[in-house]
Amino acid sequence: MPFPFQEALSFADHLLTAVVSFSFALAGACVCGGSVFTLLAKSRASESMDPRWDGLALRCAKTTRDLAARAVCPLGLGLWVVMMAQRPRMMEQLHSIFLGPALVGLLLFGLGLCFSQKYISSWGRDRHESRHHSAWGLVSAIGFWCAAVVLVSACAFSVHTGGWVEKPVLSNALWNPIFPAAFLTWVALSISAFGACGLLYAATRKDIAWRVALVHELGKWMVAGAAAGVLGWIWWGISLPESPNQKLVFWLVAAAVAAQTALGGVAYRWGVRDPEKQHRRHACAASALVVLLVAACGWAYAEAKGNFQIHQYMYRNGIIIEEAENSNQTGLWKFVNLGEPMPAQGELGAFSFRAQCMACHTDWVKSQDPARLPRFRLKGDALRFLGEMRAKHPPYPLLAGAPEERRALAAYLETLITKSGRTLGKRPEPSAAKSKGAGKRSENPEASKPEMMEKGVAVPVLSPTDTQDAKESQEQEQVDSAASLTRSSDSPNVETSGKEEAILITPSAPPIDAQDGAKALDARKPEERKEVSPVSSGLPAEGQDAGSGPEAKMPPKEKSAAASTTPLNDAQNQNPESGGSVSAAPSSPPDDSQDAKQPEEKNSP
Amino acid sequence: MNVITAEWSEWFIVFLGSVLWLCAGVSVSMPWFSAHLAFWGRRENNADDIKFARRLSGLCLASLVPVVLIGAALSLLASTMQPAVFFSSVIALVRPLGASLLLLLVFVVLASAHSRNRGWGLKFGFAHLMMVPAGVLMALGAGLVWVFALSCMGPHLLDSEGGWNLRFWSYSSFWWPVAHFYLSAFSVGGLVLMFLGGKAFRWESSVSVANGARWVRLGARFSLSFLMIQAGLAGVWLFFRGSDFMAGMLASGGTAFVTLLIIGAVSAVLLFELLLGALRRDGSVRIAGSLAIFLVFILAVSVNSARLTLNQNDFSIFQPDASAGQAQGRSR
Repeated sequence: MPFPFQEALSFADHLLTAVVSFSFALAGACVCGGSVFTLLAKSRASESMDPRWDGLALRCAKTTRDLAARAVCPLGLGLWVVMMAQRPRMMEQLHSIFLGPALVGLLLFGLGLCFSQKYISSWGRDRHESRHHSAWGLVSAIGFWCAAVVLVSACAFSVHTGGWVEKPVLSNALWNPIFPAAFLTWVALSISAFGACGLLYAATRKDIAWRVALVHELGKWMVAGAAAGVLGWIWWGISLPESPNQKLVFWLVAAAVAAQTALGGVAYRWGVRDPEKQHRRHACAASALVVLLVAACGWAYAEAKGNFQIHQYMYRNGIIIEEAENSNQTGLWKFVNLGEPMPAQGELGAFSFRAQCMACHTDWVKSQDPARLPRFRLKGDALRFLGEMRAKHPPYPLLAGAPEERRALAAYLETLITKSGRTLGKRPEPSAAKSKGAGKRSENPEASKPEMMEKGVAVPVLSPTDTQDAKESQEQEQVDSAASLTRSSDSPNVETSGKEEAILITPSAPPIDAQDGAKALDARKPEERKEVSPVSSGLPAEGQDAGSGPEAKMPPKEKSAAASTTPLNDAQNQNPESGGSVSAAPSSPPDDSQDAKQPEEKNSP
Repeated sequence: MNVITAEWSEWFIVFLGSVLWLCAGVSVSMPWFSAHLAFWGRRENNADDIKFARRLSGLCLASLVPVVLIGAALSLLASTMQPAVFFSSVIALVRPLGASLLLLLVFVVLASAHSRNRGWGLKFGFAHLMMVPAGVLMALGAGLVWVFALSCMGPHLLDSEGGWNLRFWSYSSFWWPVAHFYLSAFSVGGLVLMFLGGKAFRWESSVSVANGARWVRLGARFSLSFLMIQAGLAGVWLFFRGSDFMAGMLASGGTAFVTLLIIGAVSAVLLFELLLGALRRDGSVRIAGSLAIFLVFILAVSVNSARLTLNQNDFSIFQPDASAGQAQGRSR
């Protein structure tokens, strides 16, 4: 049975995930915070003559136990099932990496619940053995927090794998670069969440003295939690790796810092300084800020992953970077379907699209709107674009698949376009252009360019008079293709196919050639290339059929040299940045939560 | 990064699976026992029965926690051992699984309200009936989860194209495990009743010995009845499978399989004797419940271990068409 690739996610899927994960995060934070406040209240009860502290500690313990058993368990289970259905590849990898810690975490959570029940059931009975009784509460809290550590570590790992990619050991996975900051943030969130619940509870107390004492105690801890939270959020923001969504992540982190600061301010002003002036609206404000914090945390986590589901290891569409290299040679179908016969081209193209493109480009299949589809104009444009993925589609620079799979995918894309009502023009015959420009081939460097990357798809050799027109039209096509392929939804003002010619190409657009984009990328700085494609050394150069022939095994630089022996290199070398700018639309892929809604991207470089 | 070897993890799975089986049985059957005791306690004005019914509601909530945690642990192990089968099943059955979780949430609300003796049921005088819909919800939810477990164990039960389809309904090999699950759930529930009733014999218990003995008898009757039905259905199932299937099973399993079968059979016989003895002594047996739970655990472990030996020799009892010596194993 083949491993299932993730299917397209609808808006309802994303909404469901968001709601369930939000509820789970809030419940989990309350459980962790509650276990701490239980111990604090119990320690206060042992110092104070007021019996209400003891009652409060018991209430906190019961609330924590009930939340853990009746909210965290079913919500966690639900979230886990939803994530496994939506992101099977990512969950499979995370399961295999974190199997041991996850089993230990489950065991500790179960023990935490058992000891919590023991702590509650022995309340009042073991007064003469208060240390023994307190030990149950302490062990219960440790169990809950250890389970939280495993979860936080797994979430942080998917955002920043750190040294795990080079050295895949469990310690590197658990102690990833983001984990300390993420854990500090989680501590702050837990304290804030349960503290806000405590403020709401205190606001309902009629005894003023008791209410003041309770609010004062809660305020102190919430201020400490807020300070830790601000530090944790800033540290987290600094520790994040670079991603295309960096600006959005920055603003989300800033919002979280602001919310945490505001929460600390509310806790200090109406908790520590003037607890007698604490009102119900202050408690509500604190609760609202906690809700905002949890939402910002989840959103920032989703955006920080950027183009990856697991940082530097698995792309957003579920393809593992290392596997992409192998599947370029063996073919994606053979790589995952283990011996099943290769299907016909139509099915193969659909499979390849589902495996690699569907995660971000759901609307291409779900809607028949021609405006949403890529703006290829001629037959063969799709295939050429797939050969230039590294330059034209930086968020996903590798296309995994054998040559026949690429052709099938290109044919599938063209089928989608024709089904939507648009027509694709025929590429002019190379023989006609060849005879026209035969005498002027020496003046036209492009005319002596070798055949392009795919077998059977030849770049037309153009005469000098046609070159400029061809350049402009090709530039326009490239820009349009890149613009349409790097965003998941177009603006309402998108042009139809009839108006595509009206899109202007700025002078900064590079000369277009089938291999220009890829070579330009190769000529880019190494660190730029490293960000886009971490596995760069072993990959075949763009512009070539990755799986075909001995060239596939050549290192990229040699391939570039072998593939292009024309003076075009001069033009390309003069524009080392051209490869990046060809993909005119800033490649801001759809986020995990909503892949169908992205702001309009600019159309021209 | 999976440091657990396949063989070690399979035995660990058998142990966990047996514990899960017992806890799931308690979760499924306890709402019905609670509804039964609440109904008759209200009708006969027996406060002890009503209080005991609320305690059973709390117990079925508590038994959900090990079900969830152990189920999660087993799923984790299955996802690393057979990821293609596991994730295909999850994707194909995500809607039924989601529905079962919703049912579970409603069940938790109803059972919580009943166990804490509060809510609209108490106000309007039908608190004693709250556990009936809770029992229905739990049974449906557990059934859906059991479908998922079956699909993981027998991938042919799912259509190759995925999706929620009814292909598995058409297999007779689907209905036997489902019936077996529900019958064993009520058998285990009866044993738990015996265990709780036996606690009344402790000197510090606030429950009267007479009530305790009555609950022990009730649990023993339920457990014995369902065990006998289960044994009868197992015999019918084996009969319909045919002698070739049994010969294939014995040939595939070998000595280990036969040994485990014998242990299971001895445990079953001892369990029957224990239950009959408890009824003969009018429930005045203090440790019958504990012994019975221990015996049923041994029975569950031996049966699951026997199935594991068959699977290790590529013989699946969930194959749709069983014939002589046909070894359709699960893909590894």
